[in-house]
Amino acid sequence: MAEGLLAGDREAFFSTIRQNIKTPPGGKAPRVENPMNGLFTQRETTVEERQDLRERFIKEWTTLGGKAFSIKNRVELAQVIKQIIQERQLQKAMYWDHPELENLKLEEIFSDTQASVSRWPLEKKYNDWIGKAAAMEAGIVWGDIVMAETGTLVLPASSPGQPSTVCVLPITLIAIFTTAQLVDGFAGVVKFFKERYGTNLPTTTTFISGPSRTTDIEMVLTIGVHGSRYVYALILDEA
Amino acid sequence: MKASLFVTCIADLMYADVGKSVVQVLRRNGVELDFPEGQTCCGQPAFSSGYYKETAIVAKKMIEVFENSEKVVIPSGSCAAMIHHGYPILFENDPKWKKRAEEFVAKSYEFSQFIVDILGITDVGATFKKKVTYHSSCHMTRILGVEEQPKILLKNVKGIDFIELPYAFDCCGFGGTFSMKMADISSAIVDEKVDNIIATGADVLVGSDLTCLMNIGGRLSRRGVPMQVMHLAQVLDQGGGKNAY
Amino acid sequence: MHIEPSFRKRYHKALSDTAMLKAVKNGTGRLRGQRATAIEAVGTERWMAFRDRAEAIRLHVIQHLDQYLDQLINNVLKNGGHVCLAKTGEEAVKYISDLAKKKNAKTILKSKSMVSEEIHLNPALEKQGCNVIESDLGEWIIQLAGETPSHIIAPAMHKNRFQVADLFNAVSEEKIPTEIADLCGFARKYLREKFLGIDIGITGCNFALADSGAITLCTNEGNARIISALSPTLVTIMGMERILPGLEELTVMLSLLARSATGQKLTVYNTLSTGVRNEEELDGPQEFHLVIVDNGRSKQLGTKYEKILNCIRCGSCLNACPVYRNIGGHAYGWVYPGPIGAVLSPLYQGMDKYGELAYATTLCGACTFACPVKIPLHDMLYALRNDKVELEKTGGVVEDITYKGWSATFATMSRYRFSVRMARRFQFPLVKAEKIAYGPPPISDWLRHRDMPALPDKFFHEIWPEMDNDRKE
Repeated sequence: MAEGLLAGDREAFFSTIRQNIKTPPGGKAPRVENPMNGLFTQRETTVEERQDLRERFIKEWTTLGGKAFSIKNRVELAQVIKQIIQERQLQKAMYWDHPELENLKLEEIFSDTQASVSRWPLEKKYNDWIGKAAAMEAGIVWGDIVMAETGTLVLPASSPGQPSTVCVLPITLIAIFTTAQLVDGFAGVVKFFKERYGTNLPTTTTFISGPSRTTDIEMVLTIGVHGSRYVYALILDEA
Repeated sequence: MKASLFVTCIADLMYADVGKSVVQVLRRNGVELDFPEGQTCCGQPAFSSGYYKETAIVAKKMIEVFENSEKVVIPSGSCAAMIHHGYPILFENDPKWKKRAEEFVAKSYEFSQFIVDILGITDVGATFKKKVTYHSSCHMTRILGVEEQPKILLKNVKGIDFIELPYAFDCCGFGGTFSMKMADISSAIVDEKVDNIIATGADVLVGSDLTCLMNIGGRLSRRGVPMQVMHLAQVLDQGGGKNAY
Repeated sequence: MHIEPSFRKRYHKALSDTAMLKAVKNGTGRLRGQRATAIEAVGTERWMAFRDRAEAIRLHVIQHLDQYLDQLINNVLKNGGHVCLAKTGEEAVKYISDLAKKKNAKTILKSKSMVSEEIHLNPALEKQGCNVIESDLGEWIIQLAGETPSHIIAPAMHKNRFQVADLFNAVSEEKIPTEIADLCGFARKYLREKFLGIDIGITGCNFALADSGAITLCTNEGNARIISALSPTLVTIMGMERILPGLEELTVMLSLLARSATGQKLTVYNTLSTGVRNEEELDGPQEFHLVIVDNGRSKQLGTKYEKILNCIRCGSCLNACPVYRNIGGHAYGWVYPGPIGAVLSPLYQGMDKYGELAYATTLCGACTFACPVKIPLHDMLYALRNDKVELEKTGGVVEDITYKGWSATFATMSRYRFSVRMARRFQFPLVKAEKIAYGPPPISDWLRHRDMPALPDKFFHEIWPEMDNDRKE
């Protein structure tokens, strides 16, 4: 990628800073080694522990205003998806181009319902896809990593087929993942990111904790002002 | 145990009875108390108005006055906090006085803190058959870190009916010169405090800072609320037996 | 909106605005209640550990700001983003205005940015014909009202649903009910159309990560997420101190930010974005500009006020402040209200303009204890007052005389005792039933609302000898 350009006088901008932060009397504060130490749950989990994490996630997610389902097999998955289609009266949904979602053969599940489902990208040109994306009533994403303690989906756009548009534009969001994706909290996420990306982060990563909300009018909690109003988490048993 | 009383200017000039009660309670509990001559004020008014030089002149005097004291007892949370937190700031760039200030800090205690932490007494043997609530003053709790001691002492008073004050830690709106400079804001704040106090249904408001009590009491009086306002020492001085002097 | 130059006039106006005060008390009450519940859930001890850690992280960054800025700039450039270094607000405004001109931008959508308020960006863009729309619900409400934010995280806290409905009805073709859900529904529909026609998106920046060049945006509504996904050209404005070394530090800050601000465990949408989309990607900006603004910040480095740069704009000091709760945000005059504003405004904009704000506080210290990054706000308020006295050689004529006289009197016992006896002797015209209810300045204002006890017949230092003698006998 071509490097960006710098505007403004770098020397002038930095000179005041450098002048002013000369060593303070007590010496400069050292870098905090292991900033997360002791603050977050740090552990490797077993399959059984991840069952508990699923319960914890469901509790948090539900408190935030979302709905969550524990799902044993593909038959149950199809049932739940059909239930959501009914509940939300869905006509059009789109989903991430993600190998895990591909395995679930969503088209098949949608085929005997009123709703249609399309895989991203909908079109190649902005002016073409934007209209289509805006008309989509639900976005389906794969939860690459999910935090139980806060009820948070962590969605790195790991490939061009997994844009944030799918997870934030439609009024309904459906996130599918297995218990293997569950971690306690941030410690697990950071470990995952370090291993997968180092400091070379994907263009976007979205952390979503429940439905879009606002309290901007009289501090009254109102759901779904810009992002998703209805959020579903479908948590499959891990293989 | 020997200790010196730093009565504070507000108690000296406006609430002499509080000073008397402090003496009574401490003597009854075995403290040999003296009252070093030359003491006036901790310097808070000037300090919080930004007059550090003027404050330092008076602060140095106080340090000298209490130089030979073993322990210093102060019946005011904010004055004790001024010494603990303000004096080191005042003498930040004056190593000689900074050291003397630190020595002063090390031996200075707020009244309830002295009784509970130093004397190790949680029941001073007082009796007071009234419904009381307690306002936690800001500097005493946040800066000095003395929070539980006064309540422990109050709750152990015989016959007392102690009711927690909602939002006890909210400021009463006094703020020293703030209450004169921006009296209208200050009065809006003290009204919240007064409303919360009335809501407890208590007969007596107790506190550990006379300036807060003067502010709240002044508003209660102006609003015509018939509530008694007492310093902790005055409550602890009730029904505690014969005069100790 | 017309802003009174004098703080006194501003707060008097506030004190008489009952609808506003009711809304602010309700809002701050809820926010601090939710924060307290969240902290209880974390446990006080762990919360304190979080704060200590956050303070250490922020302080380290601030004291090595050159190093982290350098790293951040290099990474943003490497990721294909452009960087503008703006010493002043004017420079930042010019850069963004020029860009809007170059792009021939008509529709500009913004997510919340306090820095953009600070540099007055919107009026400049509007002047050149751009339609600038705030997308955060609260920001949009006050934009429609032609006002400035009154709270850092709840900009329209001072408005009630009826006022909001009036504002929405002015831009709506159909009549909107005053139910809050309907009002939010209208905002979604109206702003959604705007999102889809966006030319340039402008966001603030909660945190920039030096080691990856990623910008973190936190919104509950999802508006910043939508803007950064749909804007062909994206501009992010950040105060130059809003940097963290990397992801690990970020997790600490995000955990503190949400709990301090609203009592949530995490903000609903936290987005990390490295800027320009890559070739295969279809959403996200094709062009990304990071505008790093100094505007008075570098002056604070290395001073006793340096820790003010720790601030993560959570607004919890506002909710904790008894003064803020009783006058709301607008009375403070500049962009940042409450205790943080009372410190920032004079530091960034000058003592001459905002020095009064340092006195607009009871010094109760609630702000310092509410601060998730442990900025000693109330100590700074003392220090500002001291600066006024030392640097301007005066704290006011009356104060100068009072405190010079005070120190001369109170440092000498004989003078102290003489003068207080004089005061007692001459207080009689004011005393009625052992109370003083009227008096001359400076106590006249005090006495308008409160009584004061009269000086007693005997001072304690006059009683002490009797007590001491009785004991000895």
